[in-house]
Amino acid sequence: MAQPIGVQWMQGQRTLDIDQVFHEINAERRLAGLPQVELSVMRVRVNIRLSIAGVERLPSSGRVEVDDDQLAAIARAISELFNTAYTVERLANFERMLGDAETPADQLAAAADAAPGQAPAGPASSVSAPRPVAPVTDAVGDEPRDRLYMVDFFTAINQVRRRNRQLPIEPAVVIVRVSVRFAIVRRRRLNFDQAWIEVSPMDVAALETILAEQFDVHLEQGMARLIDQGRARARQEPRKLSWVDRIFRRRNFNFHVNDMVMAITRQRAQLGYHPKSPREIQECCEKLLADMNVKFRDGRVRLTEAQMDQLAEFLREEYGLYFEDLDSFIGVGALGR
Amino acid sequence: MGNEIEADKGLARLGGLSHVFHCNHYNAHLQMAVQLGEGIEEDFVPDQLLKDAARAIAEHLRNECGYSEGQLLEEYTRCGFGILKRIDDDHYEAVRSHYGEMTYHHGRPQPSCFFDAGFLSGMTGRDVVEVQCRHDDGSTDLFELREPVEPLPSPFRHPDPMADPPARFDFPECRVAESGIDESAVIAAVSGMDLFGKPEREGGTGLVEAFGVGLTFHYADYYNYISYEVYRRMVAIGVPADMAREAFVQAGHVCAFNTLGGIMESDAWDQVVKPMCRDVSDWVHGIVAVINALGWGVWRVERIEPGKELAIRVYNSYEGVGFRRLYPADDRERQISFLAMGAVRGIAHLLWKIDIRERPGLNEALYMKTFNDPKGYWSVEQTHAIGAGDPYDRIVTRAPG
Repeated sequence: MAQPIGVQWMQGQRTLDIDQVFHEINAERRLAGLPQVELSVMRVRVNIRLSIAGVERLPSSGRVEVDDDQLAAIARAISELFNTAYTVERLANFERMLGDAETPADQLAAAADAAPGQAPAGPASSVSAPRPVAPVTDAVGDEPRDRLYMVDFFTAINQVRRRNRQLPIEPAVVIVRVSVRFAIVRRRRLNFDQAWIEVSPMDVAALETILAEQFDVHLEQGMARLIDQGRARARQEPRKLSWVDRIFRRRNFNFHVNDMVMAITRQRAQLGYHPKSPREIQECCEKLLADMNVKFRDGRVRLTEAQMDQLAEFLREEYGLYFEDLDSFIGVGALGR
Repeated sequence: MGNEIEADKGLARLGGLSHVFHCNHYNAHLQMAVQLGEGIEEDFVPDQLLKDAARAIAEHLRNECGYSEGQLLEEYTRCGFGILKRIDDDHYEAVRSHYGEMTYHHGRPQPSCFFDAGFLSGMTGRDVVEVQCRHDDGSTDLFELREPVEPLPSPFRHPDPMADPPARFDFPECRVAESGIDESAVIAAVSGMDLFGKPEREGGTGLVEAFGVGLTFHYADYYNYISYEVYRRMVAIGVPADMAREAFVQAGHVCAFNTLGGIMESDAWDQVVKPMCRDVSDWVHGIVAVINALGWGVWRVERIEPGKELAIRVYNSYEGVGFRRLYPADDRERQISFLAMGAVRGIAHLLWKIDIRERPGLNEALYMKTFNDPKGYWSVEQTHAIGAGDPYDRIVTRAPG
C-alpha cells in the first residue's frame, strides 16, 4: 500500500519524515503567496510548541517515530504557526496523490511555478544547501514591517526573568546570543546598536523563538506588545523636522540638566544596568557641556541642534542608552524652543 | 594506560591527552555558545556534536590507550565529572554530576548532560540517550544505552605543534624586566593542591569544589572540537566573525571572573601569592603563574601598563595546539584562541574595573553590576595564533577610550 508522503506506519507506530513535511508546508505557503519559512525556524518554533504541550521535541532532521497524540500535537502546532491546515487527516489525504511519480511537494511546487507573480525559488532549492547570511540589517521584500525599539526589547527580557525569579542576563550576552541566532535563523544580520530595528512578522516570530530558546523568556502578548508600546510612544513624540527645517529653522533647546539626569537614570534602570549615582552622571554631563562651551544658568542649559546631536552621541556611548532624538528622550515637557 | 599526570611544556597530559582545569561557569557558557549553532546547516546538530566530541575521546581512550570501562569511570570521577553507576544492562545513573548539578543554562529547561551521554557512548560502544536530567526536573541524570554504534573516525588527525617556551621576560619584545612573584613556587603550590574528584569509597562525590566554583580537569580536545566546529560553520555561512567569536570569548570572560577571581580571593592566594605582590603588576604576574599550573599552556607577560594595556603571550596554548590537531594551520584568521582572549580581558577587568585586591566578594550580582554595560569593556585582540602557524598566541587588551 502506498504511504502518505511524510508519514509511514511501521508495526503500529508512525514514522514522520519531518523534513518532508516542512517542504510540503513551504510548497503550500508558496502557492498561497506567503513567504517561505526556513526549515530551522519551523523546527525551533514547532519544538517550542511541543515543549509547552509536554510532547517530545523533534529531531533536527530526518524521521521520528510518533504516536497518535504526538502526531496530533505536531499537526496542531504546524497549523497554528504556519497558517496551514496540516492535520493528521490532511497527511493521510496525500496518500491518494502518491500514485504519480511526483511527490505532493513537487506537484504543489509545480503549481506554484505555473502561477503568475509568485516567488521563483522552490522549497528544495531554498533548503538543500546552507544559505549565506545577507549583510543587511532591516527586513526586506514586501513583508509588512514594524519598528522594534531596542530599549523595549532589552528591558522586557530581564523584566520577565526577574518576575520568574531567574537571574538577569547581562546585555552583552543578550546581544551576542540574539545576534548570532538571528543571523542563523533568518540568514540576515541585525544591528543592535540602533535605537530601533525594522522587523517583519517573520523576524518577530524568530525573535520570540530565540527569547524562549536562549533565555527562557516568554513575553505576555508576544513581541507585538513591545511593538505597540514603541508605536504609542512614537506617536506622543514631537514630529521630527525635515533636513530643510534643521538647516534653515535654527532651533535652540533649553532644558534643565536634572531632567536629563533623570531620563538617563530611568532608562538605565529599565535596562537593568547597575545604578550610577545621579551626582556622578550630573558631573560627567556637566563636564562634557563645559567642554562644549555651554553655559549654565540655575542648572538650565541652552543647546543648538548640533550640540544636541553631540550630546546625544555621548550619552549613547557613555551610558549604553537607546534613543532616537535626545529632545524626545529627555521629554517634551522639559524643553523650550 | 597512563594514570599519572605529566607536565608537557605547559600542557597537562593524562592518558596522553591534554587536560585543562575549567569551572562550571565556563562549561555552562561554552555549551550554550555551541548550542547557538542550531540551524546553521540542515544536518548539523550542536547537541549531537557535544555528544560526539565526548564519545570520540572515550573511544580513543578505550581503543587506542586500552582503557577498560572501569578505568574510564575512574577517570570520569577523577576529572570531577561526578560518579556514574550502572543500574542494569541498559542504564547508567549519574549519582553525582558536574554537568547535571553545577552547570546551568539560560534557556528553557531540557536534558543537557551531552558530555556524559557521549562519554558513556564511547565507553560502551552503544548509542546513549539521556532519558532523565536534573536540568529537566529529574532527581538524577539517567542514561539509556541503545543500539551498538561503530567508532567515530577520529577528528584529531594532526600532530601537536609543541614549542619550547622562553623563560620569563626572556624574549626580545618583552617590556617587563622582573617581578616579585616566584613563579616556580606558585606553580609548585598549585600543583600540590588536590583538585581532583574522589570516588565514593574514599568518601568523595566525584565533584571538585574549590575557589568558589565547581572545577573539572576537562579534555582539551573536547573544548576545541566543539568550539571550532561550530565557530567555523557559523563564519562559513556569513555570521560575522566578531559576533560569533564574542559568544565564545564571553565564556572565557565568565571563567576569568569566577575562577581566576575566585583564586585571587582565596586563602591559598593570601598565603602563597599575595605576600610576594608589591604592586598591581605583581597581581598580574601572580595569576599568570597560577594559570601556568592549569594546563592552559605557558603564559608569558609581555607588557603591562596598569589601567591601560596588558599583552600576554601563550606558548603551547591548549587552544592553538588543539586547533592544529584538528585542522591545518590557517593564516586567514588569528583571533581564534577564545578562552585566552576572554581570560586576558577578564584579568584586566578583575584588576582595573573591579579591583579584586579589595576582595569585593565575587558573585552573580557583582558580575551583573560590573559587566552589564558592554560599552565599558576593555577591547581584546589576538595578534598571533598557533592555529595560524605562528609560534605562539599573543593577546592584547586595552582600556576603553
